[in-house]
Amino acid sequence: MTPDMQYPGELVIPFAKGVTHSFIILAISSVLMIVLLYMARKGRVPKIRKLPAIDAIDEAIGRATEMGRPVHYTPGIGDFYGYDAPMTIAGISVLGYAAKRVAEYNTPLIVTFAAPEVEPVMTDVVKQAYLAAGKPERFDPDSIRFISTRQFAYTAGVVGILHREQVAANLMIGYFAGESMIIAEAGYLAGAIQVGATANTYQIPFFVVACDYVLISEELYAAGAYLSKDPIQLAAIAGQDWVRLVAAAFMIAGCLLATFGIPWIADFFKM
Amino acid sequence: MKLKVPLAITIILVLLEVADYYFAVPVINTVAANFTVATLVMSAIAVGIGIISLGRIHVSRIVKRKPHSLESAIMLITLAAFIVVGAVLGSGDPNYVYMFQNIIVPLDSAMFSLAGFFMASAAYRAFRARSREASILLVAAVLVMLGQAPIGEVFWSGIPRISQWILDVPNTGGVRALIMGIAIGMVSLTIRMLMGHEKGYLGAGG
Repeated sequence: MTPDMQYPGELVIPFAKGVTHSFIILAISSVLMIVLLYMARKGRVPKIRKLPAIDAIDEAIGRATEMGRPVHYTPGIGDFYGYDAPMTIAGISVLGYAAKRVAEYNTPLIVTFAAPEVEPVMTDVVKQAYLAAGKPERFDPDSIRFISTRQFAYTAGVVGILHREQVAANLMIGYFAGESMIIAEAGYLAGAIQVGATANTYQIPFFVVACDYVLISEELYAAGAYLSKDPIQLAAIAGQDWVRLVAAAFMIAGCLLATFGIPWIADFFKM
Repeated sequence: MKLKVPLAITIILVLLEVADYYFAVPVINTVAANFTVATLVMSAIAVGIGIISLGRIHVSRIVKRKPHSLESAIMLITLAAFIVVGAVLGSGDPNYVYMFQNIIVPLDSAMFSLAGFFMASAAYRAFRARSREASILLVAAVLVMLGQAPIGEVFWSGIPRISQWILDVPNTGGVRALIMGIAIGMVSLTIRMLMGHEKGYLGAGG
């Protein structure tokens, strides 16, 4: 090395303030899940438990078909930005499956939502599902209905549809807030079999009391992978469980250490 | 190609947003901020798409003289009135505010008030002690309700303390477990999207 050459200096990762621990946890979680994805590619497919609420979608569509009444599907009031975006995306992933089943059985489908920006995606997903079922001619663009951006105007619209159209299956999978109870009870009064799913912790209890089947917490995010039956996606779900085990181990270790006056883990999570 | 282009856009934008959250790099932060503005513009345009969709469905219903055409006509007239008054006079105009306060606000309140009645009917069904779990739910719900109401303390001074304990310990523990699961679920969904395996939202599921 000649004297005029400079050392590149110490590598400093410019983290934003207060997110270092979160980044480390994200990195560990991601690595764990990616490892499981690659193991699945090599044929080691983990088994995941059954999700009765997802299996009930077929049952609900079958019942609607037998009764000759429509299936109603809504991803709720979420859009593609912020906290509610993953729930909306998870809801739309399940819509593809439900729409394909509905198309196969020639059952009418009504899709409602409150965010106009999801309309092109919903329309395309349902259209593709009819195409995949070999019945593109049965796709009805009027079945994809934007109601209103206002939460309770949307609620009123959905309640009206549930009663007027005599819906036999009500699938609510996505982001829901204060309207969850009203829609779920309206579905019950209309005599529909109901599957509810949201990751909004305030609304889960309402779905639990009002719906026949409920996807709780992260089961909503697992639904798309579960339905796809793709081994690689299933591996990601198993990865979720591994990360949860690691988190639980951290919690137990943190509690024990804190009890003995050693705040290492608590301090790490305050970074 | 129909799948690859949207997938590529999704992957790039997800990586950009993640990098924006974790790293203080001016270029990344500026680009991400610009995309945030772009999403606001897109959501404004989407309202137009929504209005067109709404109009198409309800006009078609009226033209084809389907059932409930009258409700569709009322909806279209109200929509047109709000658009005209809002666009011509502005959303701060007293006429627009009057319409908003006397049409939207009471209807919103009426819908929201239904939640109370529906909660009671759903609670009645859920709290019937048909199983061990439902019985636990019933006892916990009764204790929490009594603890939150003044009458609980009249029955027994310990009820508010038990109610608070249920809220602070088992309830908080359960909710935190849910939140942890949700966060991990979000990470899993994001990784599946980033690696191009989760394609259901692009119409490639099922």
